[in-house]
Amino acid sequence: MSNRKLSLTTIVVAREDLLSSNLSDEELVMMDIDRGYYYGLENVAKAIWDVLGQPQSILSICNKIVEEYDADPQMVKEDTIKFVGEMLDEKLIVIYEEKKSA
Amino acid sequence: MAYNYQAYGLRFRSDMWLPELPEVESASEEPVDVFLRLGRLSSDLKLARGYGYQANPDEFLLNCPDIARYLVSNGNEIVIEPLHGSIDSDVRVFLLGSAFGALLHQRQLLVMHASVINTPRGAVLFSGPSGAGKSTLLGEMMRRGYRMMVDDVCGVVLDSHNLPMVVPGYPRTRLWADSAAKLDVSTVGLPRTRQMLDKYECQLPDQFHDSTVPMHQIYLLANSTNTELKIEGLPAIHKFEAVLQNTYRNSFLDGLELRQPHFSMASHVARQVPVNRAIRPSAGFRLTEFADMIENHFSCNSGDLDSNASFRSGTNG
Repeated sequence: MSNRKLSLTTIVVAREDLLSSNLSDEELVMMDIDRGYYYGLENVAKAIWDVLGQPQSILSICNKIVEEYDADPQMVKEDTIKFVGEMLDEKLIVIYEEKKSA
Repeated sequence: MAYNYQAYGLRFRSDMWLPELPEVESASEEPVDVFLRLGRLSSDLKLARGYGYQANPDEFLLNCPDIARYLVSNGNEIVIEPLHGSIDSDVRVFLLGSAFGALLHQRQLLVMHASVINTPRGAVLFSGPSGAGKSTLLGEMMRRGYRMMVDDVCGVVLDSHNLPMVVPGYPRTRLWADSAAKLDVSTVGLPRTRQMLDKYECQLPDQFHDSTVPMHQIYLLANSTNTELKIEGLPAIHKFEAVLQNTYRNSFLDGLELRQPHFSMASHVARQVPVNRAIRPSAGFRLTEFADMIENHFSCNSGDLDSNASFRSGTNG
């Protein structure tokens, strides 16, 4: 388990070197070639993954999910933070370091 | 003396006699795709002791103690070094199994562990671990008039629209003695697969389908402690997982650095081909009923997930 601190303003982005393939609108498989691991994502998990091609704050992910699924915002926040933490543990995404402005 | 053979849509020229493969005319204009040579392998190819292999993107070396060593290169050559005291039929088992598997991987086919028949709707694959009953079911389907395409090492290619197509292997199947007995095939006089195994080679050239066919259905053969026979369609992610698990010698992909094309082909199959779990009770094979259920399923099924069905005995007359 990760003990890193994630907040709604944390910005995350998908790793660029993963292979991924849509099996249907709701199902996706990916592979981490270096480690030889395969992953399958379905439904909301896939919807979250689909927006992570660009750096996103966790809040912005939540807003998109709430909008798309007409879901309870508080529940979406809790579930999204948990899922983002899991993806960080699996190294499927990274925390995006913004350029520090002078 | 060289022999000329045809298998997996490829033309082979071989130093070694391979009665498993159909011979073709040597005078043909068609170029040779793969050379099978007898030779000595350089002793500086270091290998782990025992059964083992090593691979880089172009070469695959397989060591089978007391039988042979095989070097598979660039998808177009296999050098075979039979070891002292080995028996030719044993040398051929590993040539046609693991070494051919590596060859097809190198040629970037999707290589699956399956037996395959041709049906009016396309190729039907029976997959599953060794002992699941792939060859027995294949034999039963042939008894019912379907032609075989593959027994054991199945090559799959994508057509120009990325549709998965099964390439015909060669007209040879292997049956355990008890399965042969169930199918009324006499094993008297048939060669054994390996000296110590009660498994026999059956050559069936008249019951072979020799052209490439779109993949229609995959059935994963499984046992259950229940008494019911049933077929369950899998959702796409589990289909993908099933293709991975039933990729022939999956671990070869790492050394050959072929995970990436394999991932792409496996996802095309998972997207387009129905994959079903075909379950039978572990107590008692019930071959006829099991084959009835599967035949019924692939004959009247376009493969949509909502057409899952479970079958009870006797429904198929």
